[in-house]
Amino acid sequence: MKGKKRVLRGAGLWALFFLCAACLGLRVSANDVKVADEADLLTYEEEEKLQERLAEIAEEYQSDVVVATVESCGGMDVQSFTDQYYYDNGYGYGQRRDGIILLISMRERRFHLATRGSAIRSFTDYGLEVLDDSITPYLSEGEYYKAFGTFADLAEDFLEEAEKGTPYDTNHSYSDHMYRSLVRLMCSLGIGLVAAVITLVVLFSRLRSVRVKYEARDYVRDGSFRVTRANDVFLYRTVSRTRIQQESSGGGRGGGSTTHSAPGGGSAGGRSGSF
Amino acid sequence: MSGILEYKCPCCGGAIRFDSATQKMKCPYCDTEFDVDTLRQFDEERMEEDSDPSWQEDSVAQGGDELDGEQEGLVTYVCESCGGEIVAERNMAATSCPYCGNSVIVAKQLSGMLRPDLVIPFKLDKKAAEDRLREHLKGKILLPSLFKSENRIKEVRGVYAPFWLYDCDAQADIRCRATRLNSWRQGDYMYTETQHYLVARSGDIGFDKVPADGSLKLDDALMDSLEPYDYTDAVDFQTAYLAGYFADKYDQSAQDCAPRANDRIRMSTQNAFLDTIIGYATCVPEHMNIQIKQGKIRYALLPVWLLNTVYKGQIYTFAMNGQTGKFIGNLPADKGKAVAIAGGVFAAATLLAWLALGFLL
Repeated sequence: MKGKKRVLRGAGLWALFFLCAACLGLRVSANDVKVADEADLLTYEEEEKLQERLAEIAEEYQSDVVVATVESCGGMDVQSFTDQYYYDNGYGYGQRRDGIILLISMRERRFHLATRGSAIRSFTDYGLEVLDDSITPYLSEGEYYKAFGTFADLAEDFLEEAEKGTPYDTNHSYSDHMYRSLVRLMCSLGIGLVAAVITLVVLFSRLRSVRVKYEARDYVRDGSFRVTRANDVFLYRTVSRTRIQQESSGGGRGGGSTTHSAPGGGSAGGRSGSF
Repeated sequence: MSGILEYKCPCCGGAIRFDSATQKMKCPYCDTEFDVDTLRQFDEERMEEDSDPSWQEDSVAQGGDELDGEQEGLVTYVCESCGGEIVAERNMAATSCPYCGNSVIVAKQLSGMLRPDLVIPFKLDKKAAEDRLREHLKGKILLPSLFKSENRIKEVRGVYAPFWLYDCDAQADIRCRATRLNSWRQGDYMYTETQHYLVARSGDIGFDKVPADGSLKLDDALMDSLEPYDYTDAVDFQTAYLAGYFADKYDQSAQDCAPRANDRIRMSTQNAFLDTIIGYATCVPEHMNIQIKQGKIRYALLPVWLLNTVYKGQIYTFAMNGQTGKFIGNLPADKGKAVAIAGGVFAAATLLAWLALGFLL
């Protein structure tokens, strides 16, 4: 009875909180601690920096981005533990508790990426796989700060792309994006370089007005130009052919996200791994 | 004695000069103006009076004594007005007396074989040249900021530059390999058809008064850059036009300068005929035969304002076409400014391109 009361009171407080937030036109996370380093894997400075970065991303995309480390999952499997952890600590923006959490448990040497609300769409199964692949090597080597930094960078990229309405998925791969970014960067630098060179050439040429003249166009006697013979003889023709590259038909549907039911109702996405 | 000529005002006896604004001879003392022709007739009359045997001897004795030794190439004259000794280079034809400022013209440098056929009188005066210099420095972004304020004019001289003017007829006979391209799509293939042609053009073209300066002292590029001159203003040469200006006789003969004019004529002939070959994707000259028939060669004096300025101990030379006002002269660049501008443009263009590409991709 007492437990139920507490839940009710908790729910009441939550409702009040969200109501206030809605009135103010703000969506905030109930929990400002984005880095919960219970297993103490990071130095204080690292923690500070990461906290700042994650809070920034969360604020910008209105979706929580959390890193948590624990000693152990206390016998639960890492997915349930993470979902519960996320819920219990009041993470997530808005009613659907939008956000993503990376939780690593040191005893089991397992980690879990859990997504809730809009983040489920932002981080598709494909997207979580990309995160997994990028983070696991660092975790295995004990480079926790690097792993979390990578997680933050990727999370930002993914959230940004999802905000455009095109979350990374099997039909819109992240490596394509990297490749395109590289092309974009190279083209931009190239255009910048050409523009700078043209500007310099123009400005320098304005300083130089002394030039040797190589032609005498100005001195052609009026009416003296006469073409007495003009002969255009067709000799032969050559034909070459090249195969037209067929554009591979892109698009189609992406893999989407698989979900399971989450504590506190609704559903969650996620992916677990070992390191 | 008259190795040298001076133009005296028939009114007051003062030394008179050619005035570019009125295109007449003008006495700076009594403001009397004369037509160049009038003055010539007046002079001719006077010359007749003067021409006696003793004058001839005098002119041999005094009209241009060559100094020997290390000052070789220098000649002395005696100023008719003040008697001062004028030391000049051997080719000098007109100058001003360093003592009294009177204009001095050496008749023998401008007579006989050395007599110019044409002269374009100065249209613009010294003030115009100095104004144009200031204008020339405007809008030059890379010019060091201090150049405008610290660049001091050292010398401004109105010079009649000796030019050779070549009339030429050129005959051209050229043959090119040219191609036309045609492409279309059929099935999975893109077809490109190349049609090969042999294109021949023959004909002739004439050039009038192609100029080449005949002075070693004057930089060829500098003189080339002053072109074009409008020859419709050219008049028969009269020594009176030189009064108040500087002039040298040519020291490169018409034959020496001919290759420069011929190269230009050859290039223009070639271009004129190549321009008639149209409608081809590529055109590569295979055979080109251009024959130049040299026509009349004229010796002309063309008006040039030469300005020497000093900036940070270095001399910069500018020149202005004394007829059209075309002003030329290379300017120094501020390397720091160039780097800053290039960096700024690079950054801005890169950023813009980055944003624009973000839209496109």
